Amino acid sequence: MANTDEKLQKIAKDLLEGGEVSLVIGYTKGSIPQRMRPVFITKAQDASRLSFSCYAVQDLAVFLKKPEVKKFGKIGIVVKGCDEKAINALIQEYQLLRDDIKIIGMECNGIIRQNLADKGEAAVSETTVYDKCLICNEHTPVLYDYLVPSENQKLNLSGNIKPYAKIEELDSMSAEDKSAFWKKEFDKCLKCYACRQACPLCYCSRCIVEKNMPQWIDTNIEETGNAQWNLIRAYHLSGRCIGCGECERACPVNIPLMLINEKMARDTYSLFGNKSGLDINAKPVFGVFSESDFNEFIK
Amino acid sequence: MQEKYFETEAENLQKFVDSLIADNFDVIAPKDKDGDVFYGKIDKFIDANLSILLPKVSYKEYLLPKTETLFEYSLSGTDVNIKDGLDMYYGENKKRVIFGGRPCDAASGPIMEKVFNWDYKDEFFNERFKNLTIISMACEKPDNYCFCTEMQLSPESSYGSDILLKRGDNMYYVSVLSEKGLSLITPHLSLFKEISRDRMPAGKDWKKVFEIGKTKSFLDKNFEHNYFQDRFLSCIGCGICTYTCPTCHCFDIQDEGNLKEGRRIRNWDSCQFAIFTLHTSGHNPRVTQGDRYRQRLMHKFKIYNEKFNKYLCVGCGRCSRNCPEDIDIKEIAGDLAGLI
Amino acid sequence: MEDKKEDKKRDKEEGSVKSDGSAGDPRIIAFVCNWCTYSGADLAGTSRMKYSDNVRVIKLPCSGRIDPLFIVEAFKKGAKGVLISGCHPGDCHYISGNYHSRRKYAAFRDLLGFLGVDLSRVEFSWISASEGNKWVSVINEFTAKIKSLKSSSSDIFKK
Repeated sequence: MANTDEKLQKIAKDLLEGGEVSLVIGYTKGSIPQRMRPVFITKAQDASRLSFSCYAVQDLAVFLKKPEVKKFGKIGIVVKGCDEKAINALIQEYQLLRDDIKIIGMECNGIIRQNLADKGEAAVSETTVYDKCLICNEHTPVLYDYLVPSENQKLNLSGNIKPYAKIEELDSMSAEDKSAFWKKEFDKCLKCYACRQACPLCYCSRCIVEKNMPQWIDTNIEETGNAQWNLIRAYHLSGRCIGCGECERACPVNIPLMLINEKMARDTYSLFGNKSGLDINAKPVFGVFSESDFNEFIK
Repeated sequence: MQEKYFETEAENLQKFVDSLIADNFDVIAPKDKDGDVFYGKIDKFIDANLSILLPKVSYKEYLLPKTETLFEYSLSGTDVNIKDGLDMYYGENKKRVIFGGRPCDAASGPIMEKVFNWDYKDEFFNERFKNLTIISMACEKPDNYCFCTEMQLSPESSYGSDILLKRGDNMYYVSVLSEKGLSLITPHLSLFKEISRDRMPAGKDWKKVFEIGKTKSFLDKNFEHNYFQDRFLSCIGCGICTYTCPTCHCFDIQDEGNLKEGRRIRNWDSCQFAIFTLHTSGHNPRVTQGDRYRQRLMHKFKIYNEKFNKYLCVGCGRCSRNCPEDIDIKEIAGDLAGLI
Repeated sequence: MEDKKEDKKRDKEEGSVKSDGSAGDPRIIAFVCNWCTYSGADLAGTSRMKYSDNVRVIKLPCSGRIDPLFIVEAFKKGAKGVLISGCHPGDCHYISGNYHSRRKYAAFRDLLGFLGVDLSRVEFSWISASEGNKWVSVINEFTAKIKSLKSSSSDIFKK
C-alpha cells in the first residue's frame, strides 16, 4: 500500500509544483480506518495526505460539477476505472474539456462495500465487494494521464455470485408483481435527492424536481411523488449511467437504484450498442439516432 | 412526577411488549431491513433488533411525517368542502410506542417541541408528540461517531424518555419517568417488581472529547472563516445529514391539486439544498456548500441555543455515519472548539 | 375531428382527467405531432369516420417534442392510456425529430415496464396526414385494449 500512496503523492506533488493544475482531488484517511474521504490539495506540500485503498468508495468525479470546484480551473483528479468513465461521459456531453483535467488513474481490484467495511471487513473478495466490481471491465481506467498500478491481487471470481441477479428475477415477474416490488422500495424514499447529488452525471444547475411552473414531479414524499421522482431520475440516467453506484451507496434508506440503472444500461446496449463513458469522441446515445433503430414497439 | 423504579426479567419485558401489541398499540422499534436496521412497526417482540447501536434513520417521521396533509379541499358544484388534516391524523392509530430507541433519539422530542411551540403552537406536532410514549434503552457502548456526552446528554440520559431501560444480567432496570410511562405499565404491573432508587445501577462517568461551549464561542465570533469554505468543499449537498437527523425539522409547505380538489401539505426540506434559500430574483444568500453547512452548524450549536437554551443536536452521530463523503460532525465541532 | 368542441370540454375539466364512468371512460390522452398525426386525425374527422370518443388529443409541433414527462403527467392526472404518435420515419417535418423520439421512447418504455407499469397502457404509432383510417383503427384498438385491462392494473403514479 505504502508504495501506491508514494507514487500517487509524487504525481500530485509534481502536478502542483509544476503549476499544471491548481487543485488535486483525491482520497485521504477518513474518520475510521475503514473509511476514506475526499481531500482537496492545493499546495504541493500537502500532497503527502493523499492515499488510496480498497475503502476508497467515493466517485470523486462528482465534484467536477460543483461551482466551488470549477473555480479552480485546471484540476487533477484521482479516479478508479469506474469513476473515470464519468469523466469521459462529462467530456462527451461537453461539460468538461479534456485539456482542463489531469487524470490520475488508479488501478483498482475491487472496493469493499461500505456497510461491511464499517463492520470491520478488510478482505477484498467477491463476497465483500460491490456488484459493480464483479462486472468491471475497467480495473485499469480507459483514459488517464498518469497510472498508479495496484499492488493488490486481482479479484478472484468463482462465477458463483451473479451480480445484479435481481434484474433477471424482476424481468420475469408480472407487471403487478414488479409494481408491488417497486412500490415497497419507493415507499422508503425520503426524497432527500442524495441519489442526484451523489451522481457525477446529474449536473443540471436546476433539476426537474425544482421546477414548479408547471410542477412536473409531485412534491409529496409519498407513493406518487416518490415514484415519479425515481422514474425520472432513472430515465435521465438511461444510457448515460456509468455504473459507479454512488446513488445507491448514498441512499440512506437502501433503495436498490443500481438495479434500475444497470437494467437501463443493459437495455440501451442491446438496443443501440452503446456503453456509456468508454469513448470521449463518441456521441451521447440520445444525441444521435440510426434510421434502422428498434421500431417494433411502434404501430 | 416522582420517578419510579422497577426491575424485570428479560422474558417479562418481552411479555410486556407483546401485550402492548395485543392491546392494539403500534410499537415502533429498530428492525432489520435490507441489510441495515431501521425503525419500523413490529408485530412481535422478537422482530425488534435490540443488539445494534442505532437505526440508520431517526424516528422523527413519527413526530413530523415526511409528508403531512394540513388540509384537503374539494369542490362539488359551488360548495367547497374542507377537511382538516388534524382530523385525518385522529383517524390514525394514536396509541404509539417507540421501543428500544436510544437516549439521544428520546431527547430529540422535547428539544424540537420548543420551536414548534415558540410563537405558533403547531397542533400537528403537539398532538403526535403528546400521543407518543417513548421507551428507551440505555447504551452500553457508544461508537466513534457518538457524542451525546458532549451535547449535555449521556448514553444513560433519561431526558425525553417516558421509560428508560438499563440492561442487567438477563434482566432490565426500569426507570419510569413520566405519567405517560406510568400509565403504560400500570396495567402490566405484575411483570415488574418495584425497587428503591438506591438499587438502581450507578451511572458511569462518560468522557468528553471537546467542550461544546467552546464550539459555540467559535461560532459566535466567526461567521466568516476559511474553515467553512475549505472543509466543506467535499460536501455534495445531498442533505442526508438533515434527513436522517432526529432534530432537523425544516419543512416546506406546498399545494397539490387543481381547481376541483387538492390539498396543502408540508414536506421535509433541507438547508443543504442550494434551492433552500434561492430567492425568486435569482439571488442566493448562501452561495456555496460551505455557507450551507455553516448554517447547519450555526443552527445546531449557536442560534437554537440562544433562543431556546438547548442545542439542536443530540449527538447521535447519524449525519457522520451516513455521510457519503465522510464528513464527521463530531470531528468538526471538536475542530471548531479547538480553533478558538 | 371536432377539436374546438373537444378543447372546450377539456378546458371545462380544469386540467384534471377524471374517469367518472361517463362516455369519456377509459380516458386516453393522445400526444400527436402537428404535421402528420394531427392532420391524419383531422382527416378522419372531416371524412366523418366514427371512432371511440374517449381520446383527448394534445397537439405538439413534433413527436420529438413529446417529453416522457408528458406521459407521466397524463398518468398522474388519471389517464388510463397514453398514445404517442408522429410522422413515419423519413417523413418528419423537422427531418429527424421522430428518429430522436423513437430512441428515447424505446428506452423509456423499457423503464416503465421494469418499474411495473403495464405496457399495454402506452401506445406508439406513426400516422401520416393521409391515414385517417389508421388513426381510427389505432384509437379503437387501443381503447379496446385499455377496456380489457383489469381495474387493478398497476399504477404507481396515481393513488
